[in-house]
Amino acid sequence: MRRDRGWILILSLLVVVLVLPFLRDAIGSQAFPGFYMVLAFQVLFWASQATSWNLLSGFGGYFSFGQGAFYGVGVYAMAVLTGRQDMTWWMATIIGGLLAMVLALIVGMVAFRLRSLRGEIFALLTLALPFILLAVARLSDAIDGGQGVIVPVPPVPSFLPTFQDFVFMAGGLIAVLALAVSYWMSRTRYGWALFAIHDDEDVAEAIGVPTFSHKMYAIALTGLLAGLSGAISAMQVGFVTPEGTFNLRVPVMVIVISVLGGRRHWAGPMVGALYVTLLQNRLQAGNLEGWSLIILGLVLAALVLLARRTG
Amino acid sequence: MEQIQAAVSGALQGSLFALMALGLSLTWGFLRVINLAHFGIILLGAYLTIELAGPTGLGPLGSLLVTVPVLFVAGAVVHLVFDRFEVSELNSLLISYGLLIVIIQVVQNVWSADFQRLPGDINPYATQSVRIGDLIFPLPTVMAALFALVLVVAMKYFLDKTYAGRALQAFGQDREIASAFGIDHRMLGLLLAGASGATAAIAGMLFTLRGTVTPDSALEWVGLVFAIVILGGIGNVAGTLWAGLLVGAVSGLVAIVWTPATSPLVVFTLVVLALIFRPQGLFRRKAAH
Repeated sequence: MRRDRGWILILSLLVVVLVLPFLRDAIGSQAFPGFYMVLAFQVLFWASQATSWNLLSGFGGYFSFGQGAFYGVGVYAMAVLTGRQDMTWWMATIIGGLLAMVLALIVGMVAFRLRSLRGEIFALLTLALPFILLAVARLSDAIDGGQGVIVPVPPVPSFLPTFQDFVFMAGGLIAVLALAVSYWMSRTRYGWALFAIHDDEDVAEAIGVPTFSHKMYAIALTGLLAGLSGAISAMQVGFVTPEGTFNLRVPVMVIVISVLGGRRHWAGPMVGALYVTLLQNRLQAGNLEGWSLIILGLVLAALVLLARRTG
Repeated sequence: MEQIQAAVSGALQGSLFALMALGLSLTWGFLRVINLAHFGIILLGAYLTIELAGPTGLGPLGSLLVTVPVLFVAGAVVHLVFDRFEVSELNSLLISYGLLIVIIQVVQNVWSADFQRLPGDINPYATQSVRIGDLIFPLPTVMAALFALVLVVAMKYFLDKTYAGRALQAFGQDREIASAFGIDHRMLGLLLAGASGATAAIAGMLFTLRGTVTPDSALEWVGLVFAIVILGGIGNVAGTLWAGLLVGAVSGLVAIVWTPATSPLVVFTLVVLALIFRPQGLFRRKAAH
């Protein structure tokens, strides 16, 4: 039953996400430092972001530099709604996901209506998107106003030992959701249609793939998952600023992770996230943090050069 | 009067960004590569100027003697890689994105993430200004406008009047046919990519005249400069300058009519609108490709 292997992997990950906090508590912090929970959270966070990016940009081939915008909408939804409006964390997460999805749909509506906005121009349009949101966040006192927003620590559900366990579990569930969506897409006509759009959009259109609506589904899911994951990560960060949110860190990471892990496979970004996060962690541990972006940049350039048929 | 001052000051600043956009637009239009590493080369131009101007006694303008040849080679080397591997437009964007990140991080490791600036005694231009009637302009922005004007005119002349320039235009329009007519696109491509690196050196130097630079400056330029490239029309030399002046003037006006923070918002909204209604650029009569 080769077909079902993916579900088994995703269900195993779900079990790990649900069990690890209690396991950690049982083992005790001597043998299992809480730091490992932070690391595990980071792996799953980057897996969520990269998987989300991969739906449109890997499967569909529409390269986006705008991941930071969708992520950032989630981050600010959490920061503003819990920090200033006293909303519960899970409501803020859902709203963050939905707002990011709305933004994604607006981008899609503008970009996909136009035949001229394919490929390169789409990439450049999404490159500008985080900068627009940066300006909005800096400008608007209701969002930020320029001083940054403190994200309050939410009440941890009583069945979980610590706050870190809680954030890990919430982020892990989002990662499981993202992987499940990605797996499901790669196994159904939605995903196949995106692969066809990636390979040759004109041919896809000619053989009857409704390219516009499929691209809209893809970008909506990308936005939704990025927003959900961004909202959860805001709780981990604790204090958010416009410059720290709407920069190029998230787009760089998701692109490198996905290109490294493989953009045609649903689990590619997950594998890439594991590599890249662990690499960054090792470099940080060796006080070589300044090298991590150099290595990532070179890896990206080398991978694209050597695998010339990506695109 | 205030509005005129703001618009003209903005336009002069916009000319510096037009200069940054020039090389990018040329290599995109004629060589079909989108070279984000161009921003890294401008950044290197700025830092090398700061490094060289004082200790060597060359001053910022004199340091061009070193930075222009060095970054000419840098631009050519980047293109050598693109050419050797025959990368597509989209892949060139990705590869050069990787290179840009590498350059920014190298700059940060060498010169730290702190603000850097030319010392006041080496940069006498910073405190001087040019007065025209009631309007006053800081000298660095006037110099940027002059450099931009000279380079654009020179590039326009090169492309329209010389054999190499017309060969490049032919190559930009149809590679196969141009090659069939015996155009050595390898050599010309390297020359143009090198020239674009040289303009980056000048843009970097001009940027240091007006204030501080950090490694992240490169990322801050990306949005505005691409806006100018696209508004001006890809590969359209004169259009790039006009677009730079226009974007600068609009930014300056918006900053004074509303607040400075609104100007990127307005500029990028305009770019998005321009992309939708005139994807071939504002100043081009026919579609690009």
